[in-house]
Amino acid sequence: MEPEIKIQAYVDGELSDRERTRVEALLNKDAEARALYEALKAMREVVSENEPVMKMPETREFFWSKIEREIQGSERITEAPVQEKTPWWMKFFVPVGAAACLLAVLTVSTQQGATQSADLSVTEVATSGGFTVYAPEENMTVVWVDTGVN
Amino acid sequence: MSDKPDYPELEDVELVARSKKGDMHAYEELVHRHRDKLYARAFSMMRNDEEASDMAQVAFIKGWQRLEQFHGQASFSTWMTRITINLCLDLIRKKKRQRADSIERIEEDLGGVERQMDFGLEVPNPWAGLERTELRVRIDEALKKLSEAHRTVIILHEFERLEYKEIAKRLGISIGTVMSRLFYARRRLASLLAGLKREREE
Repeated sequence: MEPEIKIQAYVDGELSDRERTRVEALLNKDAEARALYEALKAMREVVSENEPVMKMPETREFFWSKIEREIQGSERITEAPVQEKTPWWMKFFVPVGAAACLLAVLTVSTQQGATQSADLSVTEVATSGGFTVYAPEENMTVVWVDTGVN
Repeated sequence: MSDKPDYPELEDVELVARSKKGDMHAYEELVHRHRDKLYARAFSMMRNDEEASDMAQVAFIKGWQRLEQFHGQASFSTWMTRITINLCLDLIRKKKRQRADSIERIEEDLGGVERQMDFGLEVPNPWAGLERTELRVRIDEALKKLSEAHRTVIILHEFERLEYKEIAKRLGISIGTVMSRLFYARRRLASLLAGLKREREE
């Protein structure tokens, strides 16, 4: 690295302790290096403390109206959303499973129909997490299947 | 009595909290408060009214959409300025691709960075004795005359106060290139400021 670039890095506080000591030694013995250091330091201060100030030419109302139009109804981005994806095979498994459960329940309820009393009969379907309600008077079976999909 | 708060009286932190809950009036106040700064920063980089205004507008839209990600580690103003800077850098890159140009190419066109101990100033601190307003105008005029590559490095370092490493990361260049560009840009700025002083005096 050239000495002038090192001096600049020194002004900007970007040097390691060891390099800083070396640059300080150079500044102590070399008048030109010292002058460059002073110029860079002054330049840095004058620019960083005097950022140009400007006024937006558009009126408050006009500028806001454009932003408002865009953000109305726009979605907020939350932090790194974790998407829970349903596996592809579940799309087939759920309706097929539900149909199988319905068939099984209808078979069972038909067989039990002759011996059922006039009361409602509730049967749990062990594997599907669902249940059926059989109303013998209306000769109707209602099947509720929990697919586990929200 | 109305329950509507007096928005101009509220601190940024309170306005941000209200905006997060969907209060558009609170966000409008934030926009009004910070729009000039964002515009100025975008203008410094793009040197074009329309683009600067567009960049500030898009930044505020993105700010609203990403408000949940803002946790107040920095001020709202700093956070928004970073969004604006990133948008400007994206646009500069896009324009460069369209011109089939590159920052490195610009540097080559300038014949590389001449390095010397002499900072090139006939008079030390040519800005001495200037009113602040006048000085700011001169700095803006001088920035306009810098190449895009050198101006960008100056803005990121002097106004955004980013470290060399961060500037290198943002621009996709080496730290050595950042240092060279910064040195060249400072020397050129100093020379331009001295020139502007002479012009005014004549």
